[in-house]
Amino acid sequence: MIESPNLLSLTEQAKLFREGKLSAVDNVKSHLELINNLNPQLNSFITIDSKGALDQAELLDRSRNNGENLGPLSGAILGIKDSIPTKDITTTNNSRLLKNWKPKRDASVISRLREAGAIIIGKTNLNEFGWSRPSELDLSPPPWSPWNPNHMSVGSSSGSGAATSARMVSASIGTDGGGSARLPAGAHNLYGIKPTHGLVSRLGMDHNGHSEISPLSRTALDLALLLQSMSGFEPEDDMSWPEAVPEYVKNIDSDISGWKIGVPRNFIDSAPNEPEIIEAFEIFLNKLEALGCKLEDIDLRGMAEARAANFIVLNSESYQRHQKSLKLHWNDYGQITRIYLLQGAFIYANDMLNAAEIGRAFKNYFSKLLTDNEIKAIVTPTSPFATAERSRRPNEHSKGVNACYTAPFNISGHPSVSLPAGFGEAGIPIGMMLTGEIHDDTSLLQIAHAYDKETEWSDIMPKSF
Amino acid sequence: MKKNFNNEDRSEIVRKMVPISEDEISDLNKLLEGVDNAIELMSNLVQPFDKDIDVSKMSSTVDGENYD
Repeated sequence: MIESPNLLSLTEQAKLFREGKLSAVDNVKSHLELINNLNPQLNSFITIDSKGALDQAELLDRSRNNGENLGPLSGAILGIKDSIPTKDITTTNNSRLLKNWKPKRDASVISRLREAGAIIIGKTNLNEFGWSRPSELDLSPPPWSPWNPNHMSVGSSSGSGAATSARMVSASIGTDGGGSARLPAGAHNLYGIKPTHGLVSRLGMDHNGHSEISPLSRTALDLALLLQSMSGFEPEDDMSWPEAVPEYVKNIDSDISGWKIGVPRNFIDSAPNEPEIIEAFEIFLNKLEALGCKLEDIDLRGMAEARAANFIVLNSESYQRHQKSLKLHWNDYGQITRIYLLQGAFIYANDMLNAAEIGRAFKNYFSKLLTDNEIKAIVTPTSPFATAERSRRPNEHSKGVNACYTAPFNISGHPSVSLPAGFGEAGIPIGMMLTGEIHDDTSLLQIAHAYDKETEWSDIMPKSF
Repeated sequence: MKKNFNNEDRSEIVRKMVPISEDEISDLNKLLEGVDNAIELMSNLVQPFDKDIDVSKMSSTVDGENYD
């Protein structure tokens, strides 16, 4: 019997399960015990599906004992952001509007994860509809950081980040429309990738143009395993990529020495970075050099305009989706959320079209910058701020400054990964980000894995637990 | 700054849409400064009919300004 299997990585849990050294039921029980202890304090979960998880685990144990084929995630325990529809599990979006909604179908990504053998243990907390500032008046109060429970978790995939770093799940699935998975990955000592646009289908979800379903995990190898299982063509999804999914796990080990990494110092210097962010950034650059990467200063342009364009698209799409319900069910929305959602009512169609054109121009410009300079990725901090509270100061939040590094690559569609890179003064983790060429998610995972093997961030757990 | 609507117009429009309070209208107008800022940033790049977006004119700072 393995003691505390929840402390192992997802990859290790799945391996022990396949080898018959860990039962799926025991693994679920181990995670449930921790959830029951921690969730009342941390609010990482909105819904805990104990029975469903144990039923899935029993089936998996039986399949293994019968010698049946097992998927690569078999035995792993996942938390799913509560904006992703899960069949017969309440999917609230942390809104009173949907507090009793039990979807009749899984989103396509959930079907893929289930086919891969993942056990879904519950639905993780988020800002209402992923587009607001959290409030104690939300359907479910905001999640608190396991790293310092006096601070809120960074969102919007806040519960996913908190649950994964507190070992309540093997890994989690979030969504990222402007940084909503990379920012919490960075603030929870996790790896998180926003995949290339179209790689992971959003079929069965809200039809947001630039929001990507994104895994968060404790190791880079776990991230590759999750992305491999989540990706693939969905014929019914007009934005789905029709090519074969690359072998992320098989090719994860790579000699990255000599790989050129672009450092946009001028742009980074212009951001309101807190001192601990810059300190961690310099250490991160040293680590990349120690791994053999060649750092090259680059002149990166258009980040502000691309962030603005993404902001306009997010606002327009959010309002479009909620315009009717806001009128019919005004009082069912959170008081902060309904104001955020109304912003899109004051955006012209012309602004939306300008945003799309600027997004295309930035996408082509950034790809050319990488190609012309033979750069594998650019490096930036994930966030200029070291705590959720600082990133939500009203003036900067309304301008999206907290997403100054992340949001441009939502509208461009480039893959982008956040890696753990230390801790700020408040004890909250800090993330650094690598962004690469469209459909070269592989190189980002390879760099992340090489970095993971040479650093100890993956082994560090929140002290309070 | 280029604005799609002034605050009075916005207030009038939104009162007709939803049962919003005056405090909420004030909060909304503050939030919309971010939208105005974004629209202005984008407008700097919009070109006449016969031209594409000139990427060399894109900004180099987080506030949308240029070092050069």
